[in-house]
Amino acid sequence: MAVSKTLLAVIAVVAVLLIGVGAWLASQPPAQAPTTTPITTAQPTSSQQTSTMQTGECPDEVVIGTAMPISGRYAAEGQYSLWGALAVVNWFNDNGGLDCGGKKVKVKLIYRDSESKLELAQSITESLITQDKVHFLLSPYGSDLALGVSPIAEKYGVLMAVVGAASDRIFQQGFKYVIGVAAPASQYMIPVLDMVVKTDPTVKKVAILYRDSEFNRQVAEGAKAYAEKLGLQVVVYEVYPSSPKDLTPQILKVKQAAPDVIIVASHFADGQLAVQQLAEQKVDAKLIALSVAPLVPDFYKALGAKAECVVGPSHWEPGVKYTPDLAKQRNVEWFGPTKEEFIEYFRKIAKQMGGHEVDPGYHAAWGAKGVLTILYGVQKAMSAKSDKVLDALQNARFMTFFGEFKLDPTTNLNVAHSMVVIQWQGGNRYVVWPAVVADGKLLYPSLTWDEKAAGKLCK
Amino acid sequence: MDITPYFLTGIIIGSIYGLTTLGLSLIFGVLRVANVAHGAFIMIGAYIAYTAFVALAIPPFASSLLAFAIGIAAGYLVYAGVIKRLGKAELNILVALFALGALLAEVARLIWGPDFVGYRWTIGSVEVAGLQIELTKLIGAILALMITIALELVLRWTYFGRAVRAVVQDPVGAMVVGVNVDRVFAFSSALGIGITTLGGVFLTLFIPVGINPYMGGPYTLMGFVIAVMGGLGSVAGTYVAGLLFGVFESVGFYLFSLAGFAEPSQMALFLAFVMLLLILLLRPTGLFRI
Amino acid sequence: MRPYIPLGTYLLLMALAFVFPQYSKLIASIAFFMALGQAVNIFVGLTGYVDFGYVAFLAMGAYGLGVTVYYMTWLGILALPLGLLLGVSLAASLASLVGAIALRLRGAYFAIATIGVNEGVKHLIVGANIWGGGAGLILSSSMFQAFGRDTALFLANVGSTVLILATGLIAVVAMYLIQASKAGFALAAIRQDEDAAKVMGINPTKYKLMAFMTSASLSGLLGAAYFSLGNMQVFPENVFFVEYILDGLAVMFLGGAGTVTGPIIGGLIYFGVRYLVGIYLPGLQALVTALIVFLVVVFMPKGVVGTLRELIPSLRSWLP
Repeated sequence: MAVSKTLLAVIAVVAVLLIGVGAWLASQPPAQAPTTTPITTAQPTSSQQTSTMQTGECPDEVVIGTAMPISGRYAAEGQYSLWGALAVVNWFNDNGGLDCGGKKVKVKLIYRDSESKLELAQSITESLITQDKVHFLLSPYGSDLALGVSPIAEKYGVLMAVVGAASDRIFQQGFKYVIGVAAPASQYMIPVLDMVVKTDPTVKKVAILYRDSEFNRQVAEGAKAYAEKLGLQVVVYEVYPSSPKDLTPQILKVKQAAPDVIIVASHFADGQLAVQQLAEQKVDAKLIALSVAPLVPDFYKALGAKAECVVGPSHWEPGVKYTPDLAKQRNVEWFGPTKEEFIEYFRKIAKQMGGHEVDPGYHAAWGAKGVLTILYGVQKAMSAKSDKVLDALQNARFMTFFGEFKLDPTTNLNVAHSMVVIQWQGGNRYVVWPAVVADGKLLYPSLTWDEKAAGKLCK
Repeated sequence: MDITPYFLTGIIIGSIYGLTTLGLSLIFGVLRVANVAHGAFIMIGAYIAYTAFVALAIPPFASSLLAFAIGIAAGYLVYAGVIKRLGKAELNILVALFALGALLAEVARLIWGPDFVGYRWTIGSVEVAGLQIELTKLIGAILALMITIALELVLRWTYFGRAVRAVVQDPVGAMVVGVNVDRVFAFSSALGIGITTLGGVFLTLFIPVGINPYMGGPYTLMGFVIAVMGGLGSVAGTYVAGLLFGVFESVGFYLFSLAGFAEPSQMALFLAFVMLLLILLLRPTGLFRI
Repeated sequence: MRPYIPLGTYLLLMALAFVFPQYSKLIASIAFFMALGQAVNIFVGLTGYVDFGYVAFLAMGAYGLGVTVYYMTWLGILALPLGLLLGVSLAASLASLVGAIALRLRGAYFAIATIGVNEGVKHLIVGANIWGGGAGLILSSSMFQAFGRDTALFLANVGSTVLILATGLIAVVAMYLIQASKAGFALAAIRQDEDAAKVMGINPTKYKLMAFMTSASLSGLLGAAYFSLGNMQVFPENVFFVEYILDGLAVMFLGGAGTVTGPIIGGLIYFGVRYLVGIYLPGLQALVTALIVFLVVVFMPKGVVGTLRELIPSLRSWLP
């Protein structure tokens, strides 16, 4: 087993040299980036648009790629986001395709499971760009995954619509090709708090619990800042672990503070746990609001009557009424399927891929909105080039079944989208805020736990 | 509000921490194997409770027997198929069990789907010192104590139990005096995983919601801590360590919160792990040698 | 021993990353698992100890580079070498601390003590709100400022790949140096029978600590290259994610524990299967990967390389 020392020395020297050269090369900007769409500095918008108007660069097929996680820790959310995106794609293709300068082009969504792992999300995203030559990307679900693939989209200059990732910090990094289509996390609780103070000006004390994760932290910080701006007093502001086993200690603290409104910046499992244990400890409040957890049917299936009267902010609900008529009233363009068509297509996809029909929730609609935004940009720019589509979207204002869209040029966020608030009433969730798109009426104050236990429903 | 309700909360949740860790501790103590698939078996138990209750209307107390039987079979298979086969290759066993845990989670996802499910079974509650205690939890906690006592009695008074204790204390010596180590290993593995799936059913009495294929991870991690605190292979010690951990989490939160820390639950956990290190260094046989 | 295959593989992949930058993330992901297995191998393969808290070293590296870039953006491109240095030093210091205290414990007790270290450090960072606390560090904008936009993107995509591969390469060289030296024989003796080795006059703690610190430093480099440079983010819940050590062990065992070529083959299988199944059978890759790891570990306990070496003895010197 004698290894010649000279050989080892040579290996060591070569290794050091290689690292040195590698580091030097790495510190140099790429000499010629071998990309399909090289990074260019923004050209004057007007000249670009006139040129596309004349020539028209519509491709034969618009190809969108996504490394959506459909197994692992984000399996549930990723699956629904994907189905929502596919529903829109199928709707366009069944209707002959996207209208691009008079030419009908097909839409294709290439999806690969990233298993909720960043390593896979990154390599898949890269191969979608370089191998499958996708024109655009949908981000994977989850703020960590979306942030992790952003540098890749940015490097290749491929427009990525962020779906299922709401951290504000994604949009504070200065990414040019990464755009948001829904409200960021910090705004989640704003409609809830607006609704509360408009309904009941006597409300004083708010308790906020939040899960220890990037997204939930932003939701809680946003809620705290806005509550204080409204002149409310935040009496409890407490974090709990990301997979909590018992929330009773935190809930006892809330009980002691006797708040008017309880806000839990939760995800799925912990949100169910929070309501379960609020019920156990009989902590009554005029309103209980949670993020994420109350927006899926499983919430009611798991909690039953305990879920009655619980409210939550949502990007979209089946009950929301954005219609072509409303678009006409507001004098903006309507784009894509109606709500009814979307629901129908989603149910078909769910049946086909998941085995049984389910109704879409906000993850599904969010995924759909990502595709719709990209396609609207393609239609306007008459091109599948990311720079041109981005330019077109900067100046666009339109409405889909999901709501309105207007891009803020500094943050790349959709600032025209307003979230809605749902409330569980008699086993169904109704949109109760804002009134113009609502299909139900808020019951306030909420029932007490004793009333709920006695079988009273929230209607 | 004083400290009492926090203390009681810790005791209640701690009893389920103790129960779910017994199997891990037994397998660790007897076979010297760190069962990294531990959480997956708890997850299976939770799904058994859920399915039995929702689809068949069988209450958890009854389905726990079913889970126990399934766990015993699974435990025997794990021993015969993995642990015995790989013998002295301790590290291979570890990786094989890790893969097995991941496999179980994925199979569960294919069977039950990725959603977060739960069930409701309310039979009333009592109030003690400002804390509402669900009767299901109370009964669960009492049963957890009884199961611990029963297991301790089995280990103390039956032939197999004494053989198990002999192997925990001195494997070579036990073999010399004629204990069939192979059968003790098989018995412990089966019993250990049986108790773990049973613990999974009981867990749903305490936390009936948020059941999903990937719920097991945190229980494996916490299980190791509790098992070491209690002394590997010591049943009573593990149970008491579970109680202590529960109290530590809850009362620690309360105290750090009073002291004005921004993230009191994280600080309580930080101290718990510091305590673990101290125990390992100063008293590696666990806090209680029973 | 002919080291051409392991060294050649890393050099080849490095060359490929430059020639085909469009594959750099794919290469980076495979290389991450290879290098992780390689670094784990130096400690676990050589000493027979399991460290469940190993991920803490990846995290230290990630934080080392992360805090340098985030809080000292004005350093410009200098932040990169200084940050890497800080990351490696943090990992090595933590390893020396843990090693000096915990390496006295044997087997399972050591494994659990290290879980305590990993979780303890994580809860301290989050609970006491240091280095960004639970919110973590998002480095993209700092890196754009420090390195310039194009350079930062190039570093994140190609630079991190090269650095990950360099980590694997250094690990191979380190493994050779250790095995060829007195330390290699001492460690072999300790692995066989620690008490007997002590009687022979070998100081087990010294050699174990040496292997531990080497392994930890490499992990620190890997963590910095992968999380901070490649992903431009450091979230405590991700960098302290305990499963990475199990990934590393799985890679090591798929290939063959204690061999130099093993982690390369293991990394290729472990990631390659995931990647391909993700394309052709989306949703099943975790299942298929777990199944393959399980079957290999149970029915081929020496791993692919170990088994090949046994079946075809002439391959031994080629597959060290």
